[in-house]
Amino acid sequence: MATWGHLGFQDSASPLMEQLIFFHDHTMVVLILITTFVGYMMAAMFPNAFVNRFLLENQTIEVIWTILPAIILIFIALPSLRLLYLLDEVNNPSITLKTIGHQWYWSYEYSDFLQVEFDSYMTPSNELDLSGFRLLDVDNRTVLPMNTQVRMLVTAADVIHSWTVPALGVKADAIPGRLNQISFMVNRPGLFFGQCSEICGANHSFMPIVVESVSVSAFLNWISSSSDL
Amino acid sequence: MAQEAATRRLPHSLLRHLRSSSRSSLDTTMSLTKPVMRGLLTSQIKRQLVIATVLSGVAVAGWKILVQNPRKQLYADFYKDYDAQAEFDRIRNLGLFQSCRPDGEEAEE
Repeated sequence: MATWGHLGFQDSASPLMEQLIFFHDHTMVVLILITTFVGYMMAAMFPNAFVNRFLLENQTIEVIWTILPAIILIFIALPSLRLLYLLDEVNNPSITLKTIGHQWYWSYEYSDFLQVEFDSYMTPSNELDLSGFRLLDVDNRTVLPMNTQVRMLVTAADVIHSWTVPALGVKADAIPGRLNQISFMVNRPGLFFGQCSEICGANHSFMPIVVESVSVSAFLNWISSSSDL
Repeated sequence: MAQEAATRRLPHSLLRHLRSSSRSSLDTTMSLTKPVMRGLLTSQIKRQLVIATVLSGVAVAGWKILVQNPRKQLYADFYKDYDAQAEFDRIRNLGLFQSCRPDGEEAEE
């Protein structure tokens, strides 16, 4: 989860998020190259009082600074397209989970085998444990099996919300009357946090998401005990 | 007379040097480096381009060596011998999961 002073990405819990982090590092190479180059050229111009009276429509430099950025963009585009297609790959999910955004909570439906439905409200700060995370903890967490391909169908009941878990590299708008599908796999156990990412009213900042990634057997035990309730 | 007028305008240190040397060598001691009259922008830009390229290369190498490669290695090392089940049991026994309780609590139930 994100803590105070956290500038970069959270540690990934999904292979796709890992790839996104590596792609970001690669793009930073290009950005640092350009920023350093342009920054130095600007700094070198500051103490220079000379003016070239004959500089007009310099075709050479115009060609150079058109072709060079195009070549640089290719170095960004190729890994980007690879990742784009990787994110959209067809996989066979083992479990489908539906989430519906409401004002101001999420509800989840596990309807693959046993019908399990519950609402997930943020834990108010005055009811929080000493070890709880303020504005991030919820009463009922989204339990998912680890190392299992998950299909998530996201929608909303009232206004537009957005379901996201940064550590898993997923985000999808929850739009009333529309089902958005996302696919992911959690490759390690633990708790992963997210927050609603589309302005949806007064308590938009107070409808978080907590994914609890457990072993497959623990998940099956949980879902069968939840359906008994 | 004209020479004396010219020397009166010069700085004191240069004046001493001029008066000590012979008058016939006056022209050679006053010569300056000829400034670049043509192609100054091109020559300056070539120099600046080289410096900018070297600086950018150093910055990029710094990012790759200090950030990008170590991060990839960290992830590779983390997952090389990662036992997800053992990690799950460790977190579960700390009582952090809602869906499953620690070993001791389950036995009591």
